[in-house]
Amino acid sequence: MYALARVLTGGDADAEDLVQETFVRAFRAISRFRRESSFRTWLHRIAVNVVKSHVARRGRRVETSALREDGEHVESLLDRMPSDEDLETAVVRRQSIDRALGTLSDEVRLLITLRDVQGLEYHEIATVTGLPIGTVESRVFRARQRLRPMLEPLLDRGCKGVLRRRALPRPVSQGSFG
Amino acid sequence: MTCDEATRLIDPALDGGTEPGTLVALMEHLERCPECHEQSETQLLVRRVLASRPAEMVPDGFSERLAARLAAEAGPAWLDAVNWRRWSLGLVPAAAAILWLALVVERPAEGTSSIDTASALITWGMQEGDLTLRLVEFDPGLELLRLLGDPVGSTPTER
Repeated sequence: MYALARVLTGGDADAEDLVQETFVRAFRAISRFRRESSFRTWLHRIAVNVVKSHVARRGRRVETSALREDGEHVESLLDRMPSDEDLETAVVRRQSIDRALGTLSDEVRLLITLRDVQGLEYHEIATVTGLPIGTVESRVFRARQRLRPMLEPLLDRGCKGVLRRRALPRPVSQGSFG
Repeated sequence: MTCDEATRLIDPALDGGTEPGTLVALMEHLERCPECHEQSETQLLVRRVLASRPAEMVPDGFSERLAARLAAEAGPAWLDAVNWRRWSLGLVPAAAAILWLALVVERPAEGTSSIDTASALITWGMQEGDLTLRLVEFDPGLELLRLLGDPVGSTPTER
């Protein structure tokens, strides 16, 4: 939830408040949870509505710049990370990914974040956003096309070779392709 | 298989949710079609990188602040004490015991001592650790102790 709020708000310092607000709203509404969707989907729907309300109150399109890790937060991270180098690597990688996601429109960034960062299924995303499944699939597909040039440097060179040989899982009866 | 069909199948195939026959057809198409092959690489590459996005660590004290907000949402403890729904539920076992006693005392089964019967059943309930008395539909003439397995060794009543 925290990662979702950070990505959708462009690293907004209010992300913690938004996540807390999500859980408070879920707590208030739990008696109305009818199990028509999974709890995960229901919670994500609340989170998305909370973030959208926040962005609307702010009255601006959320601009994603390099995420700023405020000083206090970084200090506590340093206490918990194995090494400064690991922290720096993680922060830089996350900032690079978020910078790329920031080039997308708010709605498309939401869809691809729910799909590829949060791991929701397409039908869950359709429930969360109210969009048809086909619309979600096509927008995510095109968003990935747009993101590839920006994200390709983040892929390990070793994996790239594997990618060319094994873009798809091998069926049992066939050999590999490409 | 057309390129449109192949394009729609790439994501489900990467999820592993494609029939073997369809998967074979898709792979054959990707071997022949460089554009679709490139597409499948794009989809896989971006999925992998995004899935590898390092998660933020929540700020220190996040759980405590959230717990405090939820506790405030639930309301003060004294409110629970005056919430009639909460404390009335706790009276159910006592109410059941009183009702049972009323039934037994009012219409004792023939040949049994109503007081002794009541004592035996209450004792049995506490021995089993079950404070909720099970009210069984019974005819006052039936041997209730036998229905409950005669746990205290009372002899069956004579009719």
